[in-house]
Amino acid sequence: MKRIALALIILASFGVSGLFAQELSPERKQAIDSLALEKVRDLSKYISIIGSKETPWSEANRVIDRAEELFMQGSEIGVSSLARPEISYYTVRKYFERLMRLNYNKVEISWYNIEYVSDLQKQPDGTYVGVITIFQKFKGYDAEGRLVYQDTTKKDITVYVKRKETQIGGRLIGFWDVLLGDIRVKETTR
Amino acid sequence: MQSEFAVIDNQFNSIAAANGVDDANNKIQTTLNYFETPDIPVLIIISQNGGFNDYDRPTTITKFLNYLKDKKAYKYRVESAKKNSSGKITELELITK
Repeated sequence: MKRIALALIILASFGVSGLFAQELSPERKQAIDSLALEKVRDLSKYISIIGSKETPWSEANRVIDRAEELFMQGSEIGVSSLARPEISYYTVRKYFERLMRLNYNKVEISWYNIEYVSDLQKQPDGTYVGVITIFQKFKGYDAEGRLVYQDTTKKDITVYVKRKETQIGGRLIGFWDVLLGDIRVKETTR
Repeated sequence: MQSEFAVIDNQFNSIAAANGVDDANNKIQTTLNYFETPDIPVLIIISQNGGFNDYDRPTTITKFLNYLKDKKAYKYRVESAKKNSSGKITELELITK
């Protein structure tokens, strides 16, 4: 009986060490780090397209759909202005629709210094969670081409990366699903 | 030596380098002729380790071609493609460069 109990303990130990063996290699971790950063760069591009007054209406709506797919359901995006102290938070769809209708004749939005402020860390449910910080330069012009408003905003984006599986062509494909969470305004300057 | 998928890679590069939205949309329509349907799956390998592939979230060829138009960059190459009896691509696998 003691031998059976000992065997069970050893088997259980192997089970636990097997779990640890599933930790990602540095190469794979680097790949998902880069993938999450690329999703934030994708969002940066989409925001620039949606905000641009030169983007045709149908294209802007198509890009809003793509941009929305980057986010977890229920995520919110913060909006700040030098003209008021409070920060407003909008659902992702609402944010993009407001962005498309901003009351300027020309809008330029660019993101830079996109980097991790908190590395992706594995959570008990297997999801990797991290925070990426970005700086956004916003410029709004009037009909005469004059720059009438500009600011620079530092924002933190929570990113979630989870291993999922799907059937494609009869095969089970494992993939890393990157989803963006809330975008929080940290500071706004001229 | 040119890859057997050079034609597809070149099409993708031309969409990324298109001269505006209309030009890109025309190139997307031309490129879709290589595929069985606009919804065939596109798998993107983000890393390879010991014969094991890590993928990004699967997408469709239409979404991927529009992605190239939006990003104005093609940072992948075709790794493999499945074709039907008519020679149209039914599944595409790309790898991050």
